[in-house]
Amino acid sequence: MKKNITINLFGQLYHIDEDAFELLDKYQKNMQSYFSRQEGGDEIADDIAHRVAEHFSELTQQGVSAITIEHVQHIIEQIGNPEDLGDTTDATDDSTTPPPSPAMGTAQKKLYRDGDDKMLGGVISGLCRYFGGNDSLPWRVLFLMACIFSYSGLFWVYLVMWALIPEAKTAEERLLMKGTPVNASTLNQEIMTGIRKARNEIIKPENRSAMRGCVTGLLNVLILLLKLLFVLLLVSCTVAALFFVIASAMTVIPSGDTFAGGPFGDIAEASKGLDGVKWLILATCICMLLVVAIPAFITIRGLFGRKNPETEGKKTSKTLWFAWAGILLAFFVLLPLSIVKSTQTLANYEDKRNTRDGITLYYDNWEWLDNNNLKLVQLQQAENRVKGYDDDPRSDRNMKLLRIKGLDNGDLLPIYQFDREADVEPGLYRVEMLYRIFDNKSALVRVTVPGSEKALTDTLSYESKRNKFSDYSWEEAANRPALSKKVEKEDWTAVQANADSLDWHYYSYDFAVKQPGKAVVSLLQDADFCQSPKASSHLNFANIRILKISSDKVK
Amino acid sequence: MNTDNQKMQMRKGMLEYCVLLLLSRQPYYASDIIGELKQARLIVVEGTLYPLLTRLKKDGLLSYEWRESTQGPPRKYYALTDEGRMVLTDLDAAWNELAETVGLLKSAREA
Repeated sequence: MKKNITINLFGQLYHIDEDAFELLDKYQKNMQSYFSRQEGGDEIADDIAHRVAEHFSELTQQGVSAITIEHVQHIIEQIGNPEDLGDTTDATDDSTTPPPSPAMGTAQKKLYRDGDDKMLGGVISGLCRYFGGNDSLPWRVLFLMACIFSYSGLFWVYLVMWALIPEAKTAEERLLMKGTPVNASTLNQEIMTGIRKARNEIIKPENRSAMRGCVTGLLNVLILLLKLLFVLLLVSCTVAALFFVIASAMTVIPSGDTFAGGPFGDIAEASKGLDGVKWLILATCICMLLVVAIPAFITIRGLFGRKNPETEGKKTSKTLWFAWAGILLAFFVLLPLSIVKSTQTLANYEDKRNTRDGITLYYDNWEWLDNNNLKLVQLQQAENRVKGYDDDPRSDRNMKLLRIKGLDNGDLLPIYQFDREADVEPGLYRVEMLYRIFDNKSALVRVTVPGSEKALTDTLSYESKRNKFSDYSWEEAANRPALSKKVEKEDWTAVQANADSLDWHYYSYDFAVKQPGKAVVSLLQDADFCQSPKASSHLNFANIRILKISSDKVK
Repeated sequence: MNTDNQKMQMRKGMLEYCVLLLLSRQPYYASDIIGELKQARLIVVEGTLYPLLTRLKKDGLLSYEWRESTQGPPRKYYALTDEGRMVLTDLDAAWNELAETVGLLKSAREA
């Protein structure tokens, strides 16, 4: 059932179907537009209108009460479309611009703005059509990026184009815009399509309002800018998420040492402790990516995609939204899971890395002991941090040192043994070091010399002979690196005072070696010693050395 | 081989002359002219006539007047002007010449 309207054609009333009327209207407008270029063109268009009225009269006389679209189409066929006409004999009428190629098959292309596919002014879609494209979306995305990078210069170009390029209004112009050959059948098709679109436009509620024009235009621009900002946000989130996915994917792929040294090498190195959790992390990252990417994709498509009247009714498929909701849920489950698991795994890994023979030291302490030739033989009831820092009395700097402290903040007495080994030849040797004993107690030093069964034992305390810097003159100190390394003679007095104020003490013990072999110097407190009141709970040892004093044979 | 194109060209050439001939009898309005020309298959598409009529009027060969009609909209009746009659006489002479030449060529062929 079709809507029927009554029209007045030169004083006569006719009943005509709405779609037939629209077709006729478009046809007449086409005629007007086409002939407007010619002199007397208005008259010709008027004559044709009269001819149409004649046809209508004939139909009414034949008994037709309502003019249908088929009638109108037939009439149009008979009268002809604009380019079918035109003066065959006239060559001097120079007010007529040459009509577009009438012969079938030649396709001219002119640059128009596409009024049906416009976001602002249809400039980009018009350009897209001119270059043969069908989908204006990629063009818009590229153009927008170029705009951003050109710091708005390109935007002014857009405005100029908007002003200069005409919009394709008539069927003929639309055909020219797309590059379709212009002839009777294509024109007819185009007119029909135009009517369909026009009909949908009328139905759309936002077009019913009378308030169109500049204000709504500006409002549209503002809304568009906001949408663009939102899209930008989503896109940057997607890019960030993508990086995460790539990074976690890299850790999963067994790449061996290919990436060592580059930025990915660091990631691979850092992720060594996360075995077993890597897949979980990867899954979380992928979920995160999808959670951001899907809305971004939908928004972009909704913003920039072509408004095709046939598919506009269809909203983004429900299944996509459901899928997204599912992924979001999965993400909220995976995220805390991976965080918890990762911290757990990392902690375990760290423990494993820092445990030898059942003793776990803090972080890189084992490494430090190795680098300083200190062998940890025993450590109980002591804090697992054995690498310490303190002021170096000989300079303004800090120095690293061996630190031993009992558990419970020193309430428990540490049972420990640290060994320093050295290859020795027959001669006289000295072991020296700097030390601080915070509770004024003492510690044991044991020296094992190759060839002798019994080890030499000494006690280390603030009562040891000559244990202060100030006990040594420069001449004596010059041979003792623990005291004077990197110190100038004139600074010696100052160093002495500094050491005293910092409570640093000096220990030295000479021993004879009769046979070549390995000598071991141990700093220790065994369980028995800890029973005595002399055992200390907090000590620092620095600059431990074994030096050869002389090679003279000792009896 | 399809000769439609050539035939159409021939007819197109005669169009203006035939319109003037028609109008020399009595004033006609567009639909009448269309009817006659369609019968002779001189025009295919009605709209071809209108630019032609307008041009002829602009060149002063035709004039028109509006007449009310009992059935339907008012009509534009075209008539030959004096100048139009002169052109028609010219074209008559041209046509006779053509017809003679063509006649000669045709009889030469049949011979």
